[in-house]
Amino acid sequence: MCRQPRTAPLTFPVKLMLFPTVDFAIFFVVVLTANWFLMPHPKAWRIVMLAASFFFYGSWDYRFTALLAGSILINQAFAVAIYRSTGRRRHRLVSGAVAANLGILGFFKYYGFMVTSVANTLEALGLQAPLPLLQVVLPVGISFFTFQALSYVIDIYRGKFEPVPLLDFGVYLSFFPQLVAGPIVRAGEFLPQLKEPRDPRRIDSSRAFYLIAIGLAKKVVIADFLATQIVDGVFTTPVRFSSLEVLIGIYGYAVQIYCDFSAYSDIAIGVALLLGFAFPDNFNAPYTALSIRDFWRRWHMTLSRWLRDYLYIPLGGSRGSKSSTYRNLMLTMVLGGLWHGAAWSFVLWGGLHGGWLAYERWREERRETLGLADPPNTLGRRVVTRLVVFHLVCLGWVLFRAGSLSVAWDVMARLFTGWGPAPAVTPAILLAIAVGIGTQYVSRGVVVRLQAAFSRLAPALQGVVLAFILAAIDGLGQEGVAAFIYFQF
Amino acid sequence: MTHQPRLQPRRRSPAGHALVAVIIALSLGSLLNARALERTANNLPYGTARSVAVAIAGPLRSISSILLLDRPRLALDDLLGRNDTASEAPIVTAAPDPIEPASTSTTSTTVPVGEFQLRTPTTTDPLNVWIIGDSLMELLGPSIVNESDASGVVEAVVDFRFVSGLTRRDYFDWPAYAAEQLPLVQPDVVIAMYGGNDGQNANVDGVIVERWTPEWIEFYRGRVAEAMDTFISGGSKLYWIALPIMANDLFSEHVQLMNDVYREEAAKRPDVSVIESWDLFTDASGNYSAYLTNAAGNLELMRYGDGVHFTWAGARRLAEAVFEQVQSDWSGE
Repeated sequence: MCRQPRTAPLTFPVKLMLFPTVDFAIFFVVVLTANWFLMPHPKAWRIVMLAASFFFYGSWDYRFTALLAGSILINQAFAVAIYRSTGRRRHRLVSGAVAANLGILGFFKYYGFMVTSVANTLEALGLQAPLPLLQVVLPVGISFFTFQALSYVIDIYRGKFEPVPLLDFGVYLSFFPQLVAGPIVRAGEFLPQLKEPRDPRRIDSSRAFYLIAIGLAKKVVIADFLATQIVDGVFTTPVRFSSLEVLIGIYGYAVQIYCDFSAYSDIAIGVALLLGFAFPDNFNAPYTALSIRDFWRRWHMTLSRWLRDYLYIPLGGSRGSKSSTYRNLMLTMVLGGLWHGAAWSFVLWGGLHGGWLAYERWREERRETLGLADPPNTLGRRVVTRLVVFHLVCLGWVLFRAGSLSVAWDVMARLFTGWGPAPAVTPAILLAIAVGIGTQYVSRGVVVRLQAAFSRLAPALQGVVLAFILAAIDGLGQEGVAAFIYFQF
Repeated sequence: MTHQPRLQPRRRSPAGHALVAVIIALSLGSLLNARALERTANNLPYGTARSVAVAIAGPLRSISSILLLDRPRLALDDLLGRNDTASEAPIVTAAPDPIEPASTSTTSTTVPVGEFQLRTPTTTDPLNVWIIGDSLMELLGPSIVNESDASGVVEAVVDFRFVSGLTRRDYFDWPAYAAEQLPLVQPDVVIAMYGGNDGQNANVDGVIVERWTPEWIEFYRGRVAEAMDTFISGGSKLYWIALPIMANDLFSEHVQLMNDVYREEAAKRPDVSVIESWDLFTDASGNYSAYLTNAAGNLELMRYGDGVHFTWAGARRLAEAVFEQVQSDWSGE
């Protein structure tokens, strides 16, 4: 219900059909209607849904629909070939599929980083090579649909299921609700739901409406507000802010990225529910975590599970020696960091989390070895632990948001050297941060009761309540809508 | 033994009910927000899509007004201190320091009339710089702030608007906004960059003027002249950053038309100086290049994939040139 889309802070301009826009609202009403009218006709439903998803993706740049189509065809070809083969050929094929997917992802995501790194290294060695200096546009959502495609071919290799028809796989990989920023819905979670027509008599619409409304509120009212009012300034010109402003800017980013990214997941899950699909949860009050391990069970849960099942466990997981477990944790998190972008700051962000995960594991093992009892689970201890974990996560967010080590250093340096007043810290900013964190402590029971009460309203009354909520969100939000942060990954 | 209140499960509903709720929510939501929707429609580029959107949004607003459905939103806007035409809070990427009244320090150098020279700033009497523009300023503005900060004699504030420009005053009226802000900011120097969104048809007294036609150029000249006059009206010096070469050849041709307007209008005003950026983003052959070697001799990606906006490296490259110009104008070198 918002107005003019605007570009995302610190990203290239994104013209994608954003969830909180009139364009998407019109698109979704058409698709929702077609979805249920065509449900008794599975083939027509699949064709229309595939076309709708390609239309959605093409609204960003129609040329990249060819990339999506290519990914569908290549991965289906690999899936069928893997399923029909045995022994070493099967192994070679899955390796080929992984290489092809990572190759495409690597080209689009890391080309610029690689070509400048190679050129500068050669220059330092006094060598010159005519490198092809291509300007590569990063296709929106490529990291997400590539990981989904990998889950399909690897699970077929592992014998978890058979290849599905091409049309089904196409619908899965291009399905518009989660196409560009997750959650990462695995083939094994989506394809079984596609086999049978969804039951039009039992839609979990109250949960869907709740997720869509809460997602819009988080994005439009909190995330975009914090971005423009404090976060962007602190991370672009830290020298102009005092220590307290920098600190609030860092807290602000912690809330912004949660409210931005979880909003996309919430809306995607809600939209999928209205279409009859159940997606896995992606966030579960991450800033209530009592350890970094706990944090990763609550933050971007579908990525954590993907990394665990398709990277950490194949690397050996915790099956080997202690040191190999620590190494696997570190490698998984560093590669997880690199998944977000080609920059040393992402590597360090992953390393920070990997290192702390390894430390927590070492501490746990040591306690077991020494036969020490678990520390008492007191309120005070929980508060302190949560604060420590939150600040560790914030330290990581500085690296994540800064985009480069030098900017991260500037921000951290300013945090400890910029003593002075903090006129940029307003009550509204503090309130937005408090709400962003405080809502994570709202009991699940309250939410469930709210959804249950809403579900008992007549449809027309539900519509009226939602209309007022939408109007309030739009009224409280900033002018225009920034693209979601995770579009750039 | 205590009894926990039993949680009633959510009631699942038929798809038809969900569809009804969605349609009512969006329809009623549109009426409640009709003013905002009309503003969105009006802000679209002139063309068929805008005409259709305006044709729908206008009656929607009338119905909303007749049924008093626009009242809740108006009340909320009042509560938040907004009005229908007021612009939102600016995107400020540097902390706005309290503005002191214009200094009468004797350390300042008097600016000779008719000569583009800045007073020499000092730590006690720094140069107040107001950096304004469209999305091209998103990274360029902060880069100029960071570049100038080391001097210790510059206080810079960035105030840019996405999707804004000089063509569509109905979307965001830069001269009007500047007229409001200049007495508050009291800048010694204004650094401005526009043009990224200006290449669109214009509405001149109800007549749509096609972009890039001679009529459009004259219209745009008027807008640029008005903006320049406003920006220097408080006694500020104005640096107008001309547009760089673009990845798209046709857009580059149009950019040259706009750059000519900036140069010609600046030449008429002694307090306005144009900073060229075209050559900063060309390769040895004079062609557009996304990758260029920086001052340290390292190859860096300077422009984003759209071939228009600057990366941090590109923004730094231009910021260095801008600040170098500013510095030389106060040092007289």
